[in-house]
Amino acid sequence: MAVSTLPVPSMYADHHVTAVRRALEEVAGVQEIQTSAAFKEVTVKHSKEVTKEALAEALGKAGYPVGQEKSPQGEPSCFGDPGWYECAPRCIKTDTVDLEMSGDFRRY
Amino acid sequence: MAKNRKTIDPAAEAMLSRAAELGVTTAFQRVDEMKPCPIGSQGLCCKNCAMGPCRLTKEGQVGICGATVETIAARNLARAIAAGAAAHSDHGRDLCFVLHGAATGEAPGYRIRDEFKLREVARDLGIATEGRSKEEIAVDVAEKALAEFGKQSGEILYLSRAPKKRQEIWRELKIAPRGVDREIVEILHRTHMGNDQDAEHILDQSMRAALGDGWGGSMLATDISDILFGTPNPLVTQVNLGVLKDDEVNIIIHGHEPTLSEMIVAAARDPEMIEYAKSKGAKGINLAGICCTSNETLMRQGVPSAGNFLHQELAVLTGAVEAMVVDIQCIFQGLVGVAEDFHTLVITTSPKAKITGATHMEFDEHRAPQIAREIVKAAVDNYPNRGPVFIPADKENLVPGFSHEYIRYMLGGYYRGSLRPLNDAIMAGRLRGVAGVVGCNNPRVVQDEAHFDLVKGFLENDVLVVQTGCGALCSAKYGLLQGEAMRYAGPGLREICETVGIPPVLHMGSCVDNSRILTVLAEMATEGGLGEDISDIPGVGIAPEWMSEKALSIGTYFVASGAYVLFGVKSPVEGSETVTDIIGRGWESKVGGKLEFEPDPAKILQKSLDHIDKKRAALGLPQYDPTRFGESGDRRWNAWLKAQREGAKVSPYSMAGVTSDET
Repeated sequence: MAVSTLPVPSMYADHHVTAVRRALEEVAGVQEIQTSAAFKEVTVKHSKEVTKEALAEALGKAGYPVGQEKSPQGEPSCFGDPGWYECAPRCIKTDTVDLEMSGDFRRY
Repeated sequence: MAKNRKTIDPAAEAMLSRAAELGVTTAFQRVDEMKPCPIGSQGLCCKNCAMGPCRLTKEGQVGICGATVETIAARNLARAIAAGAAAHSDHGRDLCFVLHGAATGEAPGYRIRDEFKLREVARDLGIATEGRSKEEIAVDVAEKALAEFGKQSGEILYLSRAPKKRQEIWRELKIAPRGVDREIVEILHRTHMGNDQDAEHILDQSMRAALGDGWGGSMLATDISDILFGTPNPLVTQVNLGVLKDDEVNIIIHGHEPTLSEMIVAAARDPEMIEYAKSKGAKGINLAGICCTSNETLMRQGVPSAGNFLHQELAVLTGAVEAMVVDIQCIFQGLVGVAEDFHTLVITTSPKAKITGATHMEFDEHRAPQIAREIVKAAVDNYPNRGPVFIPADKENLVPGFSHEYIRYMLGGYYRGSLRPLNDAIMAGRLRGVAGVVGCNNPRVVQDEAHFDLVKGFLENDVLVVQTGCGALCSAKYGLLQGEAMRYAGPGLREICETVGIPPVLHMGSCVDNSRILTVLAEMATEGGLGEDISDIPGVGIAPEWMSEKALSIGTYFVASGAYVLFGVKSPVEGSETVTDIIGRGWESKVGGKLEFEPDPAKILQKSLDHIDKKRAALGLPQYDPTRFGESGDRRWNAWLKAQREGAKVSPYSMAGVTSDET
């Protein structure tokens, strides 16, 4: 049994946590995952056969690269919102069904 | 302001001093030497046939064919709008070909990055998506999009994205565009000698062609760029000439198309290429953008920007640019002349934009990665030729990438994204209204001054600002595209921006991405509470430092969509009171929007605020009151903290125990 802690700067919201967990669960040999969106860090208990690099690779593929967070005041970061990018719909129109269902609450 | 002041940007000022030192001439000097033709600048020179050119100088005078002042001014304006619409739309057409190639595998290196967006666009174009692969859908999307350009009858499909009332207005006035190309061609036909000679009738067709750009060519360009390169979402990057590096190979990508520049980004980040740069003595490869190619790569890849339109020659003057890689639109021919004094390679890449004296490395989507590598290699090979370097230190952080889709998400979350909080904020009066401040730089006015003053003025008056193109890069240079800009914001705007977590000025992309503003306005109208049409919304569109024909097309499609649009600098139809009236009062009575030209930024601001207040009153919304909102949350919180500091027994969950008057 080994424990690896990896900094994941792009994991800062609940849906990021879900995505990170999903990515790590798919790595054979991973036994327990503890994530913290607050500290942007994931701690993984895994078999000795699993390397830290393999975990980092799985996270990178899922859009959550391992690495230190850069200060926006320093060098620019090329990091957007991968969670939104992977999950959110790209609608640009009022959802009229939702508008109807909202009743007076959303009717002006 | 000093009379001969050219710019408010300290980096540009430093470079202009450097230019004077080196004896190099740029657009900032050429503008003093080139007085505008007094007849042409008023729209009164007709050179549409060989009987002329006819230069009309006084009221009542006519050309050899009898064409009146208003006919000539309208024809000239119409032709400029057609050229602008053609430029944007042709950009969109090329992206359709790349999408087709990406889907069939004929354009290696390109792929469908945003499948969500692809499926959304497919639905709007009436293409089946169920059970089909993204490649199959993309082929159909590309073909249907291409058909929109050549369509001869019916209506362009994206008109259905507009509010219903707006669509009816277009149909009633017979200005709903049938196909993107057809309306542009028809302007060229109508303005040929001896054809359409009624100013109002000519200008109606201008609206039709411009709508074909805004809701057609430009909107397709935006959507397909998003499909190929990803729908923008906020990230942090930097802007201004200080992003250039004195110890790395600097490559500048300039123009408008993201197709080649995205490949150059990939090539410049290739470890093999970085090693090659190191072998030439550089520490790496630094990519930076200028103009709208910059906006495209800025918001999707985080590639820093070296500045806006008027920075193109200044960047070469640093002596630190190994290659200035240009594609299409807004590229000074003067770049080649400036580059002669330095080692910089000016590399043209578009089959549509070759410049005498520049190195031409033609882009072909079928072998784009290879061409991008050749370009990057040429830049690296040029590094040892570098002479003295002068890079100003000025650079600023910015947060670009507020696509319409991301704004919806920020306001409504994953499951019920909508613009309702925005409408609510306007209705309550926290936001007075919205303003799009877009467009170019123009050396006829002080660089960036009008943009900066207007944006600051809007923020102080609780007007949320959206920006695209060189206007956005301008605000970015002065720190307005980041949370820190909140210091300029009025209390209501500040409250909204702090709650949502957005800067008070939102970067929405390049100049074709003005179509994103159209879709935001359409959704604001359909969401409810702000009328039923774009013309009901308390909002304005401004191009304070415009210079290009594309800007005129953009302005016209916003007017035809119902917006009040104000341009700075000067009017291209100044010589005709009739045409000035047609595009102002006349268009307002027809489509609800109007186009005005006002050189004084202070007057633009006042007219904009008056218009916003007029629209608020028409909607029955409360009169804007800057003292009504803002600080309410902070005030209670500060009172709680004060009470706690003073030793009161306070509850962490309520205001119980806080005795201050502020509760």
